[in-house]
Amino acid sequence: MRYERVIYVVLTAVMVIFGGISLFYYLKALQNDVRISEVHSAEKGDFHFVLIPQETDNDYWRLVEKGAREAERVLGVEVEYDGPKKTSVTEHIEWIEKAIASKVDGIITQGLDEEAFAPVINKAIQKRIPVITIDTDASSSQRSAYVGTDNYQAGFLAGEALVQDTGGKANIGIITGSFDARNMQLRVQGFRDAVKEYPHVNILDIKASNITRIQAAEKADEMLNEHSNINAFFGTSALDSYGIASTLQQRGRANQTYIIAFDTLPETIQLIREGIIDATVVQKPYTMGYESVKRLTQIAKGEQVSQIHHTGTDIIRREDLTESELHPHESEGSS
Amino acid sequence: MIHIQTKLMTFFIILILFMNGVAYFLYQGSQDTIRQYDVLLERFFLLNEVQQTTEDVYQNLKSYFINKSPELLDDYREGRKELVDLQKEFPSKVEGNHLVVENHTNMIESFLEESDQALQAYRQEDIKAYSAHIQEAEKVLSYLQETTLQLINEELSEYDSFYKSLVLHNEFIERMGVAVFIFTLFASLLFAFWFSRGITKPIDDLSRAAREIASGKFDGHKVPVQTKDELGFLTETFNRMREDIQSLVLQIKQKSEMKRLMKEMELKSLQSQVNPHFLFNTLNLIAKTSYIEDAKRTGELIEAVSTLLRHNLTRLDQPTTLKEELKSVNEYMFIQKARFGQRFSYYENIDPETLSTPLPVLTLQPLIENAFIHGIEQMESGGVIQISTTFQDGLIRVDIVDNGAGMKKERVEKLLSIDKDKEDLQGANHSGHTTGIGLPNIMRRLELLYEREELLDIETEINQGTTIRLQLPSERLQEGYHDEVAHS
Repeated sequence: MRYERVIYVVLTAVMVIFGGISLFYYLKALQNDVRISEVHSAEKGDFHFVLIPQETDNDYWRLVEKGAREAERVLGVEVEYDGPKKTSVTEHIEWIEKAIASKVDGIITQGLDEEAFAPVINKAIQKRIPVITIDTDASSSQRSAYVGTDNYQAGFLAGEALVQDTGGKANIGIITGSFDARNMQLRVQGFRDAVKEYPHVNILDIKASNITRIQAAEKADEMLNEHSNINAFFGTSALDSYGIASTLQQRGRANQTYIIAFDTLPETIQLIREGIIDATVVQKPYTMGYESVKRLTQIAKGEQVSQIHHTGTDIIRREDLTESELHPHESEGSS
Repeated sequence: MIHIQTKLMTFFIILILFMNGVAYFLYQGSQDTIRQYDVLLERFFLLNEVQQTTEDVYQNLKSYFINKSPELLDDYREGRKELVDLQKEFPSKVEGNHLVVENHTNMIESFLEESDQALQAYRQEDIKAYSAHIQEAEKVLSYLQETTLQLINEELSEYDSFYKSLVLHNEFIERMGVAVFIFTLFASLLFAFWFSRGITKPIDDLSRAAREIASGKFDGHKVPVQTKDELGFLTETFNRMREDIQSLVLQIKQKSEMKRLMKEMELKSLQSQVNPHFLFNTLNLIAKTSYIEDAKRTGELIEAVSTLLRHNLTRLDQPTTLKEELKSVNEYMFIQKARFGQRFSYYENIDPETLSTPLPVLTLQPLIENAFIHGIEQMESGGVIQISTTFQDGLIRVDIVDNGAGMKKERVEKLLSIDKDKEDLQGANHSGHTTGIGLPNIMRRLELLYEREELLDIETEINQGTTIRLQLPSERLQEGYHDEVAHS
């Protein structure tokens, strides 16, 4: 019965083939067996804090966030990092208000505009939400503590460095981020106080760049037009410094002009390496992040902390660059 | 033995279970998908509800401040309660960054606080305060909406990846479904084919074998037993039966063969009792001598005997015809006439059609002798012997009638009941007057030739004479004759 055999073989073969196919698709289906994740009760931290940066994607503030995250991990708290996408006082205040409405356990914010921020900070305090100012203080408010650079001191150090490096003779132009920003004001103030002793050190002009390098460059250019004898510049933030640098480079006066900058972004370091920027003020954003969270935790637990905690500043020049910094690597950022 | 029913049941149960299993599995899968959609939608609904309710509460409050109607206050209270309930539900139902969820929940709280404070201030007619609180409530409301949107966004992104996976999953399931369907189709076909073969093939084989048997062939091949069910059993039994029939048939054949041999033997032995050649030659010699010695009558007598003998010698194992037998009878009569002379008369009344009736050799003559012995011998005179033949009703009748002393009934019975024993075949010994063949012998030989019994009958009464009657079937005329010819 040959035909019988053939039929058996054919039927079995087809059956097996499709059996295999079924299995194959079944396994594939299992692979893609996905579920809507059920609500899981996550490990909750002891406290729920909010860190509101000036600008969320700013390199400097990202460093602050890093420090905060480390503290988060170590202390077992939870920190939300969120804020305006672009610097905006009104938006920033909104974010603080939101945090208050959310009844968070603590707020860390920059004291960007002391006058504007004070009321909302106080509101938070009244609602028993501790507030720590970071990087820039709003001392007139009821804020629980300040963690950050002593901006006045920073500016003062910058002034001293300039005097030292220029041998006591300089005509200075200052480009500052904004006239309203408290931290900038303090830096400028410190700087002025540092140089006022020296008769041959003169501040010829000060302009505001609105914390953009393009405007900084513009203002620097203007300044040079107005005061052709400027031979030194002080940028109160990284972007201001870049603006200054690019204008001078354009004019070909970079080498003859002394520039002292702020913060240690990679670009700043690069420019120092190239000898365009002569010195810069170092801040410690990571430390700020860490310390602010730490102190806030302490306050939330009801412990006493010191109202002011300065995170330290320093001046570095080309010779201070470490071996690894002389050759490109990671960064510390600024505002 | 595995019953056919068991096989069928098993198969169908498996098939049904399997198909139902697959259907159920697919159904569950789709139900599952629906459930997941449900979960997702529930979250959206919840979020939306919170949104709506807070909006309503706020509006109600504001309207109440304007209209001061108690219904609005009630509405507000109701809404407020609802919101509180929703707030409780919220954390357990909504997935997402739990910090955001916390914020959301707390915002609801803040909102409620501000609303309450606004209401209180309103009651106390502190316009400044309630205005401030209501504004604050509005602010919180907007934050709430923002946060809700944030949560919705998160859900949607999660949903997006889930959905893609789901589509893929379902696609595969669908393909699997088709493949399973085809698989089952072919599996069923395969089984149906196998199963039906398992039934029809044995039946075919059995019918073929039965046909063989019907046409007389008993020695076909054994039908192969392929299954362990009722059909297998049937086949085995059939085979055994066929073998049995075969062996029985063989036995019968052998017995028949034996019978035949016996017949032949008997025949031979019957006819070998007479060794005629020596006698014949001697008689010839005597006849010649008597002619030489001019004893003519003696010579004639001797010739008659010789003829008789010759007749009896030729072809003992072959049947002869009535005609020849009559010739033999005539010779015998010639001799007896010479001896008994006037004491008897002999008549013949022969139907010519019966002349060719086959008879074994030495059939009529001994019968005539019998008639002599039992009839005529005792009579001094007036003895009559007559042979007459007729053809009647398909039978050939040969009557040998004498008017002698007759026989007793017992004797007749004894003669007619043949014992196959050799002694009986010799019959009663009247060695002086017979050629030595008794009635049983004749009967037997007739029977062998015609393969029938009761061919011979005797009617007799004491002193009333005897009739020996032969009734021979005439179809044997053609058939048996040829048969005997063939077998010689």
